[in-house]
Amino acid sequence: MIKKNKIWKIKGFEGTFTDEELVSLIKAGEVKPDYFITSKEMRKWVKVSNSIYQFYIGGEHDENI
Amino acid sequence: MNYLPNKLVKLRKHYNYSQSYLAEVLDVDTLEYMNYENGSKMISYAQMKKLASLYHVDLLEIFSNSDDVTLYDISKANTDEINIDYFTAKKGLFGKIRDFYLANKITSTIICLLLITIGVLTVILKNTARPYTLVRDNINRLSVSETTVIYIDDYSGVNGSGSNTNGELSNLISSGAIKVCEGEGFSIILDENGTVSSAGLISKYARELEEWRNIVDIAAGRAHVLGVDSNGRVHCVGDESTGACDVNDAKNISKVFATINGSILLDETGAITYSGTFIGSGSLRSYHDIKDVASSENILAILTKDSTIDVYTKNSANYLLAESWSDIVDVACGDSYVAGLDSFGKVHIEIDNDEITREVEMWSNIIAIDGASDYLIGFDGKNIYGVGNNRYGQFVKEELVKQKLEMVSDVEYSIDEKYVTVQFNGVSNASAYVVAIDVGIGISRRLEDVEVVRFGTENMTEGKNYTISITSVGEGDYMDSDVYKLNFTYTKPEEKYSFFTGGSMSEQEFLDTLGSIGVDSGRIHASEAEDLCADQTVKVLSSSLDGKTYGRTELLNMDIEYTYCRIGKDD
Repeated sequence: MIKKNKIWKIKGFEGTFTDEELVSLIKAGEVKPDYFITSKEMRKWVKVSNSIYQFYIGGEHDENI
Repeated sequence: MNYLPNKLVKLRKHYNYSQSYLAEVLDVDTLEYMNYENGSKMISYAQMKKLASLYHVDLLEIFSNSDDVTLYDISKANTDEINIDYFTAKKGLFGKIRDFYLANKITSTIICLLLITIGVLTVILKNTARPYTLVRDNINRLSVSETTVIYIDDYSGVNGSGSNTNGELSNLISSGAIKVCEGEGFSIILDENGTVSSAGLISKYARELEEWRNIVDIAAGRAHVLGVDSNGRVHCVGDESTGACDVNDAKNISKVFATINGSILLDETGAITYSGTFIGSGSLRSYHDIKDVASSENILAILTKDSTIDVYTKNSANYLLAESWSDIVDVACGDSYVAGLDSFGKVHIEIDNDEITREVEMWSNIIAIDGASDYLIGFDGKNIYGVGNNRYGQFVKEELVKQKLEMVSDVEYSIDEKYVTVQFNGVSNASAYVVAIDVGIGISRRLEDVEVVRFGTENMTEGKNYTISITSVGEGDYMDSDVYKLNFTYTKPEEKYSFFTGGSMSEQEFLDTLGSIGVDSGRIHASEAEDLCADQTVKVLSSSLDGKTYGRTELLNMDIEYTYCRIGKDD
């Protein structure tokens, strides 16, 4: 069976994302520091900037969509 | 600041683990793990989960970027920890044995032969003893049918709720119930003394069940009951037309599972056989040793020995999320959902219904789950919690007392040639604000005392009406606010200013241009100001920006009140 670890949810985004996809989105600035993310195993939404994934945040960030 | 490195070191030292051991646990080389601790590399989600499990902390504690982390009381170490310690110690022990063997070959050979003899005798004695025994397991304390829920409370009392049409909830008396199973209109109870009792079953089958002895496991399908005794022999009563009871030839069975119209048998070696017809049955041949099974008309969900779930469906529907869960101890499914209970007592559900998902995610300290075609039950040892269809009153629908957040206030917007900027006052207890305009959606950012979000105007049309919608997002005890709405008509800003010999521009662009050469908010700064200020501190004249065209000479004469410039210095 094909298993894809679609573990991440991003508030305001449709669907679920793998670890790699989330990291790519953060690196690309598509998921911004103010965005909320969670996984099925977490109890609540966490801001990217308040998570250890802030490691991947880089460069200028703009709140514009 | 990245707090993860500190946290990793703190946890590792608390447990007195080495970096090489952690590298082994995370399946990376030691250098890689050292990079995690010095902050030059980031751990993956899967590694976070391993650490959370190893250190007995919530995944959130690993994931949150704070220095706070719960240090588990090692004196409360459970079996897992003992295994880890044993495994760690084992390496050292093997080393010592090897050294001893090399130093004393003859003596060691004799000792080895003695140990092998003792081992063989132990196996022989073990096999002549009663091979299968009752196993107390929390997940056996709950069972659900389409109409009825039955469960064993913390005092071995059997309770139930829902439909009692056949008396399936009557006479549920047992001095030491350790497992319950619910079929269509009947309940089965396995007692710690190895007997089985029933309620709601037709008398012929009920009498047969009462004769079973030394039963170590039971299961119930829609219309059949399975039992396995301490000699590994399987018993079955019920509807024989489905083939579910074709289990007479089975030997050395240690555990039984039932699907709606089928039976799955696990023998002492972990081999699996089955009877009857059900979705996914053919796939069982590829398994060896499974922990649990859940089934519905459309789904067969298998809890594997690796504590993950494999899902087989009738209509090729995917349950990829369910298959990504790990550390699962119980599984349930219905016609259109799969649920898993993890060892932290949290229930996960994959279903196309956000409301149900949110509700299930709020359950905590759950010890067992079970489901029927259109509802799911979680049990914490005292209370049952349910989502979905409750037409038979199978569960008490707990009204979650949540406070709705206020709507935001003082919403204002401004339009320039690039952005529509929305600004508003937030409300207490909101975790975020989701702002949407027809062209996009965004999360606001707090600037000083107001919330601000900007939207690009590139996809907006001159003269078209747009709606700004703002929702205060609630978490925990708070629910989302009603949506605040504000309509506006997009009007492209008038381009009435020009500068030097360029074309016309908006006021904002004009001001930006002034800023870029050093005139900004009534001040002059940056090296570009040299043209304006020469090498002296001067008062600069500015204009009222009344829509005229300005040239460099005019700019020098702008009348900017109380403004001066310092050559070569930024203000």
